[in-house]
Amino acid sequence: MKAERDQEYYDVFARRKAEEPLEHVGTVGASEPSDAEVFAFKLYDQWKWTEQFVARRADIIEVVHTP
Amino acid sequence: MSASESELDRVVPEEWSVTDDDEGLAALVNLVVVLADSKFFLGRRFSDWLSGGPSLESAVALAAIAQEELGHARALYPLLEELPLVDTPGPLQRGAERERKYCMSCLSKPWEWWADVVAALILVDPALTMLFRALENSRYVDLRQRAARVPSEEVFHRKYADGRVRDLARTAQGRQTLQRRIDWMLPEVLMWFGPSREPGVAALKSQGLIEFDNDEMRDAFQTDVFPILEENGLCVEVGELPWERWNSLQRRLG
Repeated sequence: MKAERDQEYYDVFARRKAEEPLEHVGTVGASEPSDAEVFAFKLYDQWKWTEQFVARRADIIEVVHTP
Repeated sequence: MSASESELDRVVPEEWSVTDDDEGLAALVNLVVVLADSKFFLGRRFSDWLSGGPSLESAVALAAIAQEELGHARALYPLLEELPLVDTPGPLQRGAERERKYCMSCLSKPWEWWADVVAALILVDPALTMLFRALENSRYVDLRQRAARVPSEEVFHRKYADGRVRDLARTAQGRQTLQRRIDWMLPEVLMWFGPSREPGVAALKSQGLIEFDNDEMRDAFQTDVFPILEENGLCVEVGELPWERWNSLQRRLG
């Protein structure tokens, strides 16, 4: 029995201080945005972030790609 | 919370000012040990499944949740030493320090199925959180302070639980398996709030130590949890609760 739905990748971004730039800190695989939120919060807890975001990778528009 | 056990020493020293009522004090000791033991065994049961989750992300999140449940237990146990009763139950470290456990029977033994984890995430954990919410304005400052951090941490537990319910319920087989585990756990969880107008809880409420009575907590729990289960095709009808098998001191079905 498969106990999870199909997953998508989400990119995780965070910053430690308000004046610092947003960093890409990693990815999570999740089947819905609220799962991505929980997984990111629990996986990437190496700092006490002031802000953390997840973005569905499929929604990110590539502007420049240099192979 | 039970207030009628003869093992509880009824002497209330004058210097301890939270309550001067024997029944309220006995109920308060029972409340603390029930919350602590329940958190302890919930954390232990989750930790049994750290490598059994369906994905690595899911396993890591469950590990964090288990750690927080054990942390809540660890924060509560020292309160037992400050309560002015002789022979209060001692803290658990590995789970076998005392024979009598003050938690639901569904937490007593390792679970066989991932669906047990999911059922406990959506039933047991929110039930405990409801009781912590009832303590947010408690006159017992040390308990109130320890209770205060729990609901904010539980927000993520709940999001995780809702996602796991949706995962399992999306197939007929998963939904049926989860339904069986809900049918097993739900009656005991509903009874865990105690029968209507339970004397110990009434004593706690009358003294400002807890904010809600048994039925208010049970109703709020059902309002909180039943919609997500019903939205996912799960049945939450339990029929008559087996109160004749209820152990009010240990808060469990016998």
